[in-house]
Parts: sequence; structure tokens; C-alpha cells
Amino acid sequence: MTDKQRNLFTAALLFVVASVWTVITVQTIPGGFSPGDIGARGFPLILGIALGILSLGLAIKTWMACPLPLGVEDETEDFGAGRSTLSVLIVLGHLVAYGFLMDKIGFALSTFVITLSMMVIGLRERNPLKILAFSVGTAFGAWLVFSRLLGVYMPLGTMITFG
Amino acid sequence: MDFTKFTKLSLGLAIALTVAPVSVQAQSDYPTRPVEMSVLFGGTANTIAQLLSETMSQQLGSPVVSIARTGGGGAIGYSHVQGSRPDGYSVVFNSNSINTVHHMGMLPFGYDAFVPVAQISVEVPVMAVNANSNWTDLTQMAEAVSAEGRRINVGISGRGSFTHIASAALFDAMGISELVNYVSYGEGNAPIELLAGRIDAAVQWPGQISSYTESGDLVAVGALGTNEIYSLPDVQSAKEQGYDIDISMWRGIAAPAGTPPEVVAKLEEAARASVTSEAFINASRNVGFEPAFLPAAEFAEVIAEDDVFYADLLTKLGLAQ
Amino acid sequence: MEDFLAAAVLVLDPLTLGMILIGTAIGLIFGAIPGLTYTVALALVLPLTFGLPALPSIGLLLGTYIGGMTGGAVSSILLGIPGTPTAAATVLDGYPMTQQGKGALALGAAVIVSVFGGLFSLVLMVLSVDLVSRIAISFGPAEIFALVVFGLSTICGLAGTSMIKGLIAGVLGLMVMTIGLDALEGVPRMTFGSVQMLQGVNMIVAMIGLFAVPFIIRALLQHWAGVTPAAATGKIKVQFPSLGYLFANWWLIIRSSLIGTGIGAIPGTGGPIASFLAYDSAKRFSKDKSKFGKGDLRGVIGPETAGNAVIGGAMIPLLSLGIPGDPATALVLAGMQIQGLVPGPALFLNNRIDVYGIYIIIMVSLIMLFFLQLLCIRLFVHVLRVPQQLMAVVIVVLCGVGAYAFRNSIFDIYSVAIVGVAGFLLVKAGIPTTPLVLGLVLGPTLESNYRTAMNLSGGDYGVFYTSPAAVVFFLMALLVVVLQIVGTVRKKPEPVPSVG
Repeated sequence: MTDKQRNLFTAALLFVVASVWTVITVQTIPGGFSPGDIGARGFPLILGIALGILSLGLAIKTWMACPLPLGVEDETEDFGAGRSTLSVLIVLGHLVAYGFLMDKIGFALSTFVITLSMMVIGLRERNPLKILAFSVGTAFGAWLVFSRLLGVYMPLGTMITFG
Repeated sequence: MDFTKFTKLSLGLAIALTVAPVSVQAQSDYPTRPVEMSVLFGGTANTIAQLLSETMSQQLGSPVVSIARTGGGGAIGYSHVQGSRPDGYSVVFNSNSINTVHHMGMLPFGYDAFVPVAQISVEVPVMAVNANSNWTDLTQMAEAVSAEGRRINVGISGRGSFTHIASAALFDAMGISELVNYVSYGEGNAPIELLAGRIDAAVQWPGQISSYTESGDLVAVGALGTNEIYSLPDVQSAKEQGYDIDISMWRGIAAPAGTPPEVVAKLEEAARASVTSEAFINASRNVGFEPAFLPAAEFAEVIAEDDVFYADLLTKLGLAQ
Repeated sequence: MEDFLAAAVLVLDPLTLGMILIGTAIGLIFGAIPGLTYTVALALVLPLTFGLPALPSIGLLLGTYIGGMTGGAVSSILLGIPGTPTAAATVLDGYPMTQQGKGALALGAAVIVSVFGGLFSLVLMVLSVDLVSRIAISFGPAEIFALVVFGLSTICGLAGTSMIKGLIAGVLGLMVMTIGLDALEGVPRMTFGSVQMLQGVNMIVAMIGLFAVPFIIRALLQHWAGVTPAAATGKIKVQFPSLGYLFANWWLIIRSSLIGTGIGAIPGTGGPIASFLAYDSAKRFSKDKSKFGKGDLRGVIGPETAGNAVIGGAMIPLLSLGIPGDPATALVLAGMQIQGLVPGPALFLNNRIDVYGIYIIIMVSLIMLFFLQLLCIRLFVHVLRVPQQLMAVVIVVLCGVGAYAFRNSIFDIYSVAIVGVAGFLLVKAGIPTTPLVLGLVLGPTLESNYRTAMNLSGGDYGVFYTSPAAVVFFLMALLVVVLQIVGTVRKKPEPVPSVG
């Protein structure tokens, strides 16, 4: 994708977000109650409209082919769309699973499971010793530091209680 | 060892680790692990809860941990506790908010989703005004406001919040509800706004304003509840001043419905011993709330009465859903 | 003077000193770990104070607060993930310095200026507490709104190459913060009937997502491509900027201290605005702006000085008005109340010795902090030895801990995942992160103060232009915007590879 295409795609996507946001705002959030009060609706509404205008502005500016650099942090940092998508999905999946598991099986165990899975799926590590050592070490270390030494109250698990 | 074998092994290990420590706990030896007490608000609610969990831990012989689960006007904490197992290891430090959030439609269940354990404290809200206003009591304030005929700005922490409901009930009783403009501040900023004269009056907690009444910057024109206030002994209640209103903020402990009665009894006993302890009473004077233990049965009546009262009041204010 | 000496004797007893040390160390550790903040630390140490006498418990609480305030710079600089919201501006130049192998120097500089900023604000606070608290009272919703607008105007300077994309980022940040139960009207917004959504997206949680998640994703990508930057080997020495360098930048340091103290004193604003404004002014007033955002030490010094100068500023409304500016100072307030020291005007009348004691505690804590930091930096820099891909796995865990611990809510872990991935995709689309952060940090204050101001005035816009303070801030905001536009127009033909 060229910079121009990417900018247009972004603008289009943001415009859709802005429209949906604005419609939901108008339909679900009541306006103000007292005099001079823009109410709970005012800000979300203004922001939704502002985003819509800005995304249109971005589209127009890109369309008119102004020299608009994309502004990605590092141009060399292109790893291909496939890999990028995969890594995003892996991280998203692990964090969501971490939240879910922490609630169900507690902090210590879920940390073990997630670090193990990150090593295997995320880092593609194949050395069983390394995997086990790192995930057990991280889980134990996290439990020791956070739950024991610092006294942060982490979930103990609702399905099975451990830690 | 190849990879699949290894995964199986580690999975097996994980399962072995998880199953081993789980045992069905007999209720007679409750509590065998920390009791989690969800706290719904910051400020005094959090302070009282922290004090209480400290003393209750000693009474129960197992840690009681107060955990802040704020947000949604209390809805977040209530729904967490309501959704946890009714085994006495997850309780909520509740308040009138259970009745307000439910009737405002923020929470799909009401107070009957919980069994009451004990009432812990009562905070009596007071109506505070700037000393420059020359208002000294409620009657005089009502007359002055009616005579002037302008709308007064009254600070509240948010629409539908306790401070809003309490002020509305008071001004209704005083007959000046038409002359009031409510200004929402979020938490905690009202004393500054009062001092600066940007608002005319605000319902405040005794602990928030005692320093200012002492320095003579603010005046408490009346208390909304009838309990005695240790830090503001001279303030007359609205009832004494001839207005039929008695609103206080009670706080207490409740457990999810279905918690075994013997567990509730143990918690209730620990709460009683804590609230009547000298350390707790001393701290309460400093922080500005009144310790007010009530056993489960009486606490249940308080909650049920309040539920009717708030349902009514919220409907009247147009806030009920 | 007699009272002062009496207070000094009280503070300089072993128990109080010990508690200050413990507090400062705990705060430092919590601040340094991304995701854990001093707010969490304060909630944990508060119960420990119940059994202590008054000054030791205040020592423990204030030590934790101060330690946590400065600790945030550590992970900003070493990992590019701000340890506290205040330290978000430090990432801009601190992290690039680490990537160039100058992380130890950035840390050293941060330590020196943060202690200086703290002490400077303390002195200013002691000298002017009466005056400043009177000014703070005069700051109503209209003035705070104007100040926040001024803070937001720095988006222009931080937008990177495309102003329109910077604005989009800022608006998105503001939008995210409107989700959840609206505290003022008590109505749910964008919650779709879910109770969990009522809590909204927490600012700290969103920041963890925005900075940590892209770090993890990028580390994975680099690992797969085999281009992971080598971890540090050999000896890592802690470095300090030369005295000459500090003296050459004396005006930057003093100015940042003043910004921090002044903004800290206004209730309900606090650290992030101060540090971003200081960053912006550091960049704006320097002759050579080309290195900013790519590892200019001045971009670390500015926000770090201001962020810690907030400490003294924030103590003024806390002690003299009893108004906590944020959840952290609210916990300090609770600890003081339990000890029978009720902050407010009466405190200065009845407990003068305790007030002096608090001043001395802050000073002692800052001095201890300096030496603790010297020790701790030596340990922290070893983080740079951990291979980046393993660090990424550890950061997944830190995301979980930090997100959960702030509000004890599983929902927040899901928020981290979603906000983080969205943030990464936005960066890929060239939408910069920093304005987004500004929107997140300032959004709630901006909205609630606007609405309260309008409600107070009965819908009269006059409140915004009849108040001199508000007008000054609006004009300053306008000036920033105009200067930016003029600057952009002037150096148009410059197709630089940009920095998000």
C-alpha cells in the first residue's frame, strides 16, 4: 500500500467511526438538564463531529496530493502485512486470555500459562528447557515480587484457588 | 523430549498444581483464607473500610483485605460481589448507594441480591455555607433565599449522587426547591467553591468542613440526619429546626445472597467487636464519621426502609428509571 | 523558629526517618515498574500507618508519594513505557536516548533535576503557602478549563509532521475518556447497557496499553525478522550530566520548576499538564530544536523537573485547603485525618509544629531519594541486559498486573489489550501517540470544568472572558497555535522523515 492509499484508508475508517459514534451519541445520551448545561451529550457529540471533519480534511489533503509524509516512526520498520497482522493478533489474544484466566485460575497460574504460551507461540521458542525455565521463573518471580513482597492484591481465582 | 510431549507434560503439571491445593472448605473453620471486602468509593468510605478491615482481621484471625472497586456509582463493586461465590470470602462494604444505583437503572438487581451482615457507621451530611452569607440556620437561609428570589447555586458531586438527593430532599422540606440550581463538581472540590463564593451552599461531610468551621470560613447551618456529630457538636439537625427530614449515609457489610448463615454470623460478630473497639472509635472521631453498629437483622430493616424511601424520592426527582 | 526546631527534633528520630526511607523506597519501586503507580503503593501502605504515631505515618505516606513521583522516569527512559502519567512526556526524548546507548545519562540527569525540582517547589511552597492557597481558591472551573486548553495547545508542537493527524489523535484521546458513567449527570455513555462498561477506560490503563502493547508487538516482529537490537553487554556505567551543562541550562530548569509548582498548586490538574507544558517550553525556547524527539537531554530535563516540582505545589492545596488534587493525594489526606491532623486552615492555626514537620519530611525524603536513586539506577540499568524479546514477555505480565492492580478490575486488562492494539494500528497509519496521550490525560478535566463553569454561570459564556486568569491562558494557547502555524509555513520545503 502506498502512503496515499494508506492515508485514504485511514481517513475513510475514521470517518465511519466518527459517524457511528455521533449517531450513537445522539440516540443514547440525553442532553443537559439545567440552564446553560450542554449535558452529558455535548462533548461526545462535538468530538464525534470534529473527528468526522478532520478525517474528511485528511482525505481531501491526501487526495490533492499535498506532500504529506506518512509519519511512521521508522521507514525501515516494515515487516510485511502478514507478519504484522499475526503479531497483533497474538498480543491481543494473549492479553485477553490473560485477563480471562487471571479471573478464573488466579494470578500465579495464569501468569505461568501466558508466559509459556508467549514463549511458544510468540517467540517461537522450541527449546523445552528454556521455555519451562523462563515461564516458571517469571510466574514465580511475579508472584513473589507482586503478591508477597509488594503486597499487591492479585486475583486468587474463582474456579480454582491457588496462590 | 520432543515438543508435543513437552506441552503435554507441562499441561499435566499445571493441572496437578491447580487441583492439589483445592479442597472443599468446611464452613465451621471459616475463614481459612483472606476475606475480600470490595470498597465502592474513595474518600471516607475507603478510609472507614481500611480501618475496619484492619481491626476485623484481628478478630477473625484471617486477613480481611479491603479492595477498591470503584466506578459506576458503586455498580462495579456491587456486580463483582454479586457475581462471586456466596462463601463469605467476598463481601461488599455497602451503603445507601445500593438503593440509588438500582433505582436509577444502573444495576439490574437491588439490595435483595445481598444478605446484610452488619451496619458499621453513619455519616451525617451537613448543609454548609460561606460565612459571608450571614446565614446561620436553615429557617433564616430559607427566608433569605425566598426574599432575594434569585436562584442559589448548590454544589453536588453529581446528578443522582447522594449529595444531590439529600440536598433535594432538604430544599424540598424548606420550600425553596424552585430556587435552586444544582452544580455538579465531581468529588471533593466543593469546599473550595464554597470558600471562593462560586456556590452558595453544599451538602458536606463533617470531616471535610470541620477545619473550615473552626477557622470561621464556613458555617454549617444544619445537619440532615439526627445522629449526634462528634466533630460538629453545635450543629442542629434539620428535624430540630422543624423540617421533617432525616437522611444519613449508612455504611455496612453485605455478602452475596446465599451465603451460609453461620458464616454471616461469624462476620457479624467480628464486625461488632471491631466497631465497638476503642481504636476504631478514636479513629472515627478524627476522620469524622460516627461508629454505629447494627446487627444483621436490624441492618436489614434499615436497608429495606431506605429502599422504599429512595425509590420514592428518585421518582419525585425524575431520576428513577 | 522555635516551632521549627521542635519539629526538626520530632522528624529526626529514628522511627520517623526509617519510615520516610521505607516509604521513599517503596514509592520508587512502584513508580519504576510500568503499570504500578504511587496510587497503588499509597493504598497499600495506608493501613500500615494506623498503628504509628502521627509524624512517622505521614513520613511513610509522603515518602511513598515522592518516591513514586520520581520513579516513573525509570521505565519511561529505559523501556519507553511511562511508569506514571506524569512521566509520559519523559518518554519523548528519554527513550530515544536509551536506544542510542545514553539511557544511563538520561537517568542520571532525571535524578538530579527531579530532586532539584522537588526542593525548589518545597522552598517556594513554604514561602508562599498563604498567598498561593488564596490564588488557588480563585481558580474556578472557568480558569482551570482555560489552563487545560493551554495544556492541549501543546498538541501542535507534538503533532509531528502532520497537524491534521495530531489533531485526530488528540480528538480520539478525548473521545476515549468520555466512555463510561458520566459523573456529573449520572448517565451512562457508550456503555451499551453493560455494567462493566460503566467504569469507563481508565487513563492509566489506557496509557499502559498505548506504550506497552506496541513495544511487545514490535519486539515480536523484530524477533521473527531476526533484527532484535543487541542487549547491552559489558559494564553499564551511571552517568551524570556535567555541571557546566546544567548551568548552561539553568533557565530551563528554573522555568520548569516554576511551571511545576504553579500548576501543582491548582487543585485537580497536576503532573501531566505540568510535564507536557515544560517539555513544550523546553523545545520552544531552545535554539536548536532539531534533536528534540530524537534524544535531546533537555527533553528529559524539562518534564522531569516540572513533574517533580508538582510535589511542593500539590502540597499547598492539600495542607492549607484540605483539597486532594488526585486519588494519590486523597490517600495522603486520609492518612493524615486518621492521625487527627485534619488538613485545612485550622491545621496551620493548631498544629504549626506538625506543618513544619511535614515540610522537613518532604525535604528529608527528597534527599534520601537522591541517594536511593543513585543506588537503584545501578540496578535498574541492568534491565538493558535483558534480551528485548524476553523483556516483551515480562511486559505482558506487567501489563496484566498494572492494569488489574489500579482498580482491581479484570475489565481493565481487556481495555489494555484493545486500546494498545488500536494505538499500534494508529501509529502504523501515521497517527502520533503523544497527542492521544494528552487527550486522555486532559480530557476529563477539560470536559467537567467546562460544564461546571457553564452551569455556574447559567449558560453565560462571559465566565471565560471576564476572568483575567482565564483570558491569559486562552491567549497563551492562541500564541502557541499561531507560532506553530507560522513556523510550519516558514519551513515548508522540508520533506523530513518524521517522528510520530
